[in-house]
Amino acid sequence: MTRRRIIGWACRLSLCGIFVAASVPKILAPHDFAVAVFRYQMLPYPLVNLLAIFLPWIELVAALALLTPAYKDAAAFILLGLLVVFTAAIATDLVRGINISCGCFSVSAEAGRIGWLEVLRDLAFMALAVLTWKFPPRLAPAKPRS
Amino acid sequence: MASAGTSANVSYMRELTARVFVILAAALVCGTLANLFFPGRIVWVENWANYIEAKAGKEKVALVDLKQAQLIAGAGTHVILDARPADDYRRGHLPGAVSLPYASVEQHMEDVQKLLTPAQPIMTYCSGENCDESFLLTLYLRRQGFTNAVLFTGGFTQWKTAGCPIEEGMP
Repeated sequence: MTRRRIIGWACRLSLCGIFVAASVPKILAPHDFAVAVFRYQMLPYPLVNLLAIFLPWIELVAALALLTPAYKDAAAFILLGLLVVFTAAIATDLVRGINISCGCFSVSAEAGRIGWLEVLRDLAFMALAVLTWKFPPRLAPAKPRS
Repeated sequence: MASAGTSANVSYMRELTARVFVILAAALVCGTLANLFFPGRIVWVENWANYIEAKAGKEKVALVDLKQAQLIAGAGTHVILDARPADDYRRGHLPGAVSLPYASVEQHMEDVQKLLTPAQPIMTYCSGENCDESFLLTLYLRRQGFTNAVLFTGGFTQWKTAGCPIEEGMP
């Protein structure tokens, strides 16, 4: 196994572990997660529960898809997109002075409050997603037509 | 060569897009099934405007509407506490309101406490129906022994929209 492949697999496994750990508490307690989403004060009310229902499954399915060579790039792409949105949401609420729990790895309202550390953490996760995307194995290029 | 590279990239992007949709579709199916059959399922669409009212009802926190809030503000019987961040307070607040941001309540409580006695009527508010800082502040005050508090659920948004007078800046 080449060094690039080892780095690639290390990134994939780390990102997979992170998102499985993030999604399971939300899937097990959807209403608590909906409250966490509501407290961000960003979404129109009709979208709060829909996001709480589907977002954790997007995280989980994409995290598991990272382990399959064929879907690795697509999964990393989705997770990168999610991380951009999460980071923007946390940063926006920090600027607005809204003091809420993150709802990232725990859905408890008593969990740690959001801070710039969470923004930095998400930026690090983004770097991990980019590395996962960029490192092989990547989707096989299409065969040239004869 | 460049053309072959471009073609490979286009093909890669097509494959990538298709696989993104496959993952999203799988998540959509899983989420739908889970929310149909999981014991902890939630309603698909909820009226979160009633969320604070429901929680306040459970905790027996008294609520006041705009009309009552206007009477309270006019009578001067209550200490009015603004639970929003200090910057929001500075930009505009109910006349006579005191800033007590829930985000840093312990830091500011010492100053505010001087204005309060356990029996002192208090009215709390935050930005509107989609915030719960005033509700959490009311519970915090209760734990500190200030039990005579009511919550104005419409908050600053409803107050301002109704054309009620506002003050700006710090006192």
